[in-house]
Amino acid sequence: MADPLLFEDTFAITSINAQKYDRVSRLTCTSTDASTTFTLDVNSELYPCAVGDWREVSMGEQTLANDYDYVCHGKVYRFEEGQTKDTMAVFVSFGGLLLYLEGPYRKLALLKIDHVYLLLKK
Amino acid sequence: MQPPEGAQIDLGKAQVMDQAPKVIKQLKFGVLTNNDIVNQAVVEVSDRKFFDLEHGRTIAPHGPLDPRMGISNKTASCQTCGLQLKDCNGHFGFVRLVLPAFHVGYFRQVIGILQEICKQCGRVLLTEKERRQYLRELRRPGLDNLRRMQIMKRLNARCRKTRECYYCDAINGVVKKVGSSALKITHDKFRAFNASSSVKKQPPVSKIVFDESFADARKSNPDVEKHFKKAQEDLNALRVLKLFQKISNADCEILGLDPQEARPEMFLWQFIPAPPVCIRPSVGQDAASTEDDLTAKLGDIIQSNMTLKSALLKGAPVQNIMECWDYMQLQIAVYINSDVPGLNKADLGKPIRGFVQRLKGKQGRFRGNLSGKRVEFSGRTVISPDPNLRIDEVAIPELVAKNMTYPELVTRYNKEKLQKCVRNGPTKWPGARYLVKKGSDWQTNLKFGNLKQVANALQEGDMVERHLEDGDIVLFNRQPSLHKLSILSHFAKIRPHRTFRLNECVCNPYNADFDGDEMNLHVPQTEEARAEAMELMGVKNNLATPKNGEPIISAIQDFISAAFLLSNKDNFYDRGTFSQICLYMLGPETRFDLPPPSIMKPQMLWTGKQVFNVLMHPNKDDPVLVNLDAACRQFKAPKDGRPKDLDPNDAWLVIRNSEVMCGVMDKSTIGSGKKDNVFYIMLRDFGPAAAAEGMNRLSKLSARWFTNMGFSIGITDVYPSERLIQSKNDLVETAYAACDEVIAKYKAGTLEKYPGCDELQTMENQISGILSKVRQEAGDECSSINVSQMVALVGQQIIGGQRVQDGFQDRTLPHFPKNARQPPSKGFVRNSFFSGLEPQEFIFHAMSGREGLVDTAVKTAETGYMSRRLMKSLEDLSTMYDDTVRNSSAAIVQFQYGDDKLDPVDMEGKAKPVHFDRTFIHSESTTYSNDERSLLPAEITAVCNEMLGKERAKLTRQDLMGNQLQYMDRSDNGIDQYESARDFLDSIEEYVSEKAKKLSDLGGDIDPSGPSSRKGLDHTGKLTETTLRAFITACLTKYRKAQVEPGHAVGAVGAQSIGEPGTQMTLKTFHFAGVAGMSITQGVPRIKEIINASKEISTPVISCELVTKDSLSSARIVKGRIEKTFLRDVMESMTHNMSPERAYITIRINLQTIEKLQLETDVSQILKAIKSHRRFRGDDISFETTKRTIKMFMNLDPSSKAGLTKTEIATTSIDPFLRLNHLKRFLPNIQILGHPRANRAIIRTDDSKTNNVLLVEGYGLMECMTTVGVDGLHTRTNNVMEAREVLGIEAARSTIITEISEVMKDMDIDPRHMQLLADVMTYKGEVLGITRFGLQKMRDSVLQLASFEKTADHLFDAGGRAVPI
Repeated sequence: MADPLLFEDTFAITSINAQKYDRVSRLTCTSTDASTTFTLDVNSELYPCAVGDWREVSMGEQTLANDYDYVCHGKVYRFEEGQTKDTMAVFVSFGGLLLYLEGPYRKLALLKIDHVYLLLKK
Repeated sequence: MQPPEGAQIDLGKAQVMDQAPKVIKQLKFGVLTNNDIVNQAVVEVSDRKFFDLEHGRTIAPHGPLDPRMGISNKTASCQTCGLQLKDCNGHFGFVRLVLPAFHVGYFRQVIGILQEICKQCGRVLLTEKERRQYLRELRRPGLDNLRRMQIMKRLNARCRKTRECYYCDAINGVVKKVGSSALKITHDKFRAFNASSSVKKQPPVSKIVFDESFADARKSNPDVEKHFKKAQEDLNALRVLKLFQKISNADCEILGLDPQEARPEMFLWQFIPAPPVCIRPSVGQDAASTEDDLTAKLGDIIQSNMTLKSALLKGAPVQNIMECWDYMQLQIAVYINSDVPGLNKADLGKPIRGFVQRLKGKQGRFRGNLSGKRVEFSGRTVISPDPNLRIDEVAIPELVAKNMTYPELVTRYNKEKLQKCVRNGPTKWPGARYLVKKGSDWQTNLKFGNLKQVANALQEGDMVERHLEDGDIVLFNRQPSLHKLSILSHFAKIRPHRTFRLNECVCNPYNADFDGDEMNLHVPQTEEARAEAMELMGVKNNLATPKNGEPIISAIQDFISAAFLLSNKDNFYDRGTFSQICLYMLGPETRFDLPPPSIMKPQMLWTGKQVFNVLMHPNKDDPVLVNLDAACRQFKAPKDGRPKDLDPNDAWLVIRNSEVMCGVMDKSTIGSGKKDNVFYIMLRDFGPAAAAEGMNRLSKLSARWFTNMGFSIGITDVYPSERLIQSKNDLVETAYAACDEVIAKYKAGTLEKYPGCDELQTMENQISGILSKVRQEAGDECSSINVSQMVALVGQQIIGGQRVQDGFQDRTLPHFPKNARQPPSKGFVRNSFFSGLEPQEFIFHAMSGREGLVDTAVKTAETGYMSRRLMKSLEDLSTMYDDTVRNSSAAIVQFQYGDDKLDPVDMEGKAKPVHFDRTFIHSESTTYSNDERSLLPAEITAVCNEMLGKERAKLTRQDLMGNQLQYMDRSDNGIDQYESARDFLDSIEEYVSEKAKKLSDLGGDIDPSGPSSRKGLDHTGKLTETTLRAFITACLTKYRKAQVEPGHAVGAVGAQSIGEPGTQMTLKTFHFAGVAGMSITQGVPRIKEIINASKEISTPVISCELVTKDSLSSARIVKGRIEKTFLRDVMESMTHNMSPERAYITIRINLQTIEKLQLETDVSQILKAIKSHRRFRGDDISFETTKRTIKMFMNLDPSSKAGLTKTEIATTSIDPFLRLNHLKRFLPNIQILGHPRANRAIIRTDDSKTNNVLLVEGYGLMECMTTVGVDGLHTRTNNVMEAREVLGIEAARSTIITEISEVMKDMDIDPRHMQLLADVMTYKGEVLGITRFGLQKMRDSVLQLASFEKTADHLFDAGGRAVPI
């Protein structure tokens, strides 16, 4: 088996939308190198976040779960062309909690349409 | 002993045999000859007495009830055959008439024949040459009814013109019915002579003889003198009979009769058959008995016949005899048809039920006993809902189950069960009511006897009529049965209590609710009937409606609410709760795999959406893998390029392999009527059982989940917030201000008029526009009208498509000042139902509410009749094995159903057999593999061509000689029946090549190893060979499956698909948006117009495409050419000068107006127009023109008036001055430009101002098409009949299709249904309406016509013609 980690980066939370739902907030985050952005729905009851927080975000196998605070299981279901030529957008759903990840293709090339784990820690 | 293998086993009850023992080949109506009547009779009826009172009330012999004609009570036996009532069909008798009588049914035919023959020699009034010519026409083989009728009509018209017989030179005049009395014919022999104003006329010899005959009368009675000029010949029954007997057999043929079958004299009564007693039974009440109307009338006929006879014998006065004779004829007429037109009903007492009344009408023999019948094994009770039932089940109360039985044959497998049933008897469920032993016909009633003994003696082969039990197949129906889905087959489920219960999902097809609705239940009695019922009418096999293929059985109401709440993003459940919810919906028979939780850490949680994953796909062995991308109800297309998936309301549903990725379950994703419905996907891709199971699970889940959740609304939910009240008030105030502004403008007269409207209309239009928007805006976004009416405001009340009209003098109500046009005084309701309505608002609301009620009441009756007519004219159309659509007389209506043989019920897209996007997503998701490489663009095309090539090889094109043609040769020579199949293959190729293009755009074929290409090939544009092959195979399979089956009743389904949505339409008319004042009849009245094929329609509009579309000024020029312009429109002034020397009129033309309106005319043109007016052609008028005036001089010389015609002088005058004055009045109304039948033309401009269309109100398609500046090839009319006249039958057909589609566009009906209707209306080569007149021309079968309308007329007609049907 190849690398258990398919994707890894550190992100800063740029905005949080918690208006629509009581228990779910939509985070918008940007990576440290500003090349990658994502939008993620998290269960804010279990895992509160604040604007400006930093998070290490990974995707990979369940075996890594012990090292992280917030772990989701879901499915990568679609790839789309990104805003620019070399970027790609990835759609992942964790039982309805969406992750929309957009970044340079080489960072995301390992992701396949399959079930994955999303791993978050401070 | 077991019978040997393969031997015929007596199955106990009659099976449906594949070879019917007897087949009726032909049916023939005819007329009875006198001999027939006498020969078929067993007795002459000559005594009017029913009972012989002298002999102790025995039945009088030779009376109307003579027992030789059969009996009508159960105790006696027939004197002719000796059989009992149930075996004896009865026997006829006859009545001998002293004088012949007219037959009401054949009265029209008799008049017709009289018009065609000479009233002296009885020969047809044609020359020998014409006679032969008509005979030749009538003898032409393969003549259909329509043509024959036309010939006969022509013949009749021709004969009526003959004044003098070609053979005996007798004078023939006009034969007609005497106006007032019912059965009298006169012959106005000398009308031509009397009417002639010639001075030199000579009375013919016969006229002198005729006048001579009055000589005595004139002498003795001075009153005769006054009237004798009006004297006409009376053609009484006896004369007519004598005349008819003279007609030769050869002439009969010309009269449309086959002399072997019917001769004209048979149309008169000489003998009356007396029908068997059993069809007119007496109802005995101890001593007295009540006789049937027919018996009573038969007695009256005999009585009047005897009176006439005695009058003749004793030589009574002629007047007396004639009265008796007339009375007898009247009695006979009433006996046949009690509502003869022209009959004075008052002097006959209450109308009797004659033979015609027995046959006609809804309860008559045809519609009440032949087309429909009373049935046994049926039940009816109130319905109620039960979500615990499967959708294909119906709960039947035990009480009903004990009353309805199914005959089950005892076999070794069910013997024990049936023994138990027999033991339980008829009163205890599950029991049995009757037993039929093997080999006997005798039914043992299980109410009596020793049930234990009977049960023990039960043998294999016996038949037990047992109670209904779980799993029995029943038919369930709710009236009105508007479409085939109003009666469906369910599995019975016997439950306690008193109501029929059904799953709420099945409410839609029945249109049922539970406010006290009752439904009917029927139990099929044989295995064959059950199998057929389940296959054809089973709930599972009817999930989609044949109207357009949308799912009609789907989640409704609470199921949607529950699914919506449960699929919300906000729902998280722990393991226990999640499992509990899953078990709500799954029965013990379904294994389910708990999916991995969505959130693993910090706590294991499952989301609400995962419940739906389990619902669709409970375990990994389940084959159901749903794939769907669909918009939910709240979805709005994103504006900023944000992906749809990230919709803030979570309103984009994505499902991949039965896993919900995002989106909610709501009305548009699980409710009925949408093709991107989850259950519809299950139905299409995994069969009806999967879809039904999905709905079963959802209903169980919803009911249980809501039980625990609780879901309700109260008054607090409609409590408006401060903010809402404020914003509402602001909106209302701005609208009021805007309206005030418009009103002020109107009063000042500065309002800019809309085209074709006056100021008042313009103002009303503007204000209506402003006010109707208020409610939409005031209602919070996406809240529906109901909620906004409760919370915000009720809004503008519309009555008859306008604001409330004045009911008092110049005002709506006395609460307002006169002539007030402000919103509140014209029906604007600014309060909400929550805040309460003001009294005047309440009245306005009630007015509009009543309009709605009246509308519904009128509509139901109208649409009901429309549906019946549609059904009657389409009922017998079905597809045949040669793909044609034919009617019952094998006439071809379509060569292929809908031109592509596709069944609307199987349409996945909008009238398309395959929804490519969804099919592709499904193929992709189900065959996806990370290990398989993507195809390169070139490879994609190659695989596609390879797969489609095989299909194309089957569709090679040949001409009629069998020569190979180019594949896509669509010239007239090459076109064939496979065009739609070829188009479908092309559409697949197009879709696939788009995928290939996308991939190559991503760099897929430049350098496969580069990072950008890798992105396309591995991620964003990946398309593997397996996927592609699966996709193309799926498309082809779906196309093949969607082909309509031979024998499919496309006509009936089409009629229902058009008739049923008709009930939902309103009667209102609809105004063109933008073009004010131009309204087009819409809704039910418009459909009626179209299918009636009315010549005059209420809003004829011709839409003319212009040659230069983008120029408003050129549009105006064309408008000027078409629209009627009168002299008054371009005239500045008109003055007249009169002096003894000369008299003239000066007309000044306003050239500016002509220029402004861009009219193509000048003074000389106008002069030409004036000169061509019929009043201005006289020689005494002369004209003189200058640049802008026309002078008309009147010649004052009286001699110049000599050439004037009488009418000219009558309308004007002979006096030159008066004449000039008269002519002056005609002048302004002289049409100088435009088409005479075009009333008004309006230019319609779209928003971009580049596409102007000229709409012409009125008729005159041909003139419009040929007008310079109009693109005649793209000009069309909405008048079917005009299209037929100008452009031909194919244009009429396509006009019917577009017009019906236009009216029905909100109903979403498959175009194939409309095409079929249009084809039925046009296949005979002329446009036939769906009315009795049209139907008569479409059909030859008398039974079909008789079962529609005018039953008796068709039967008499068939009898008269005596031709096989």
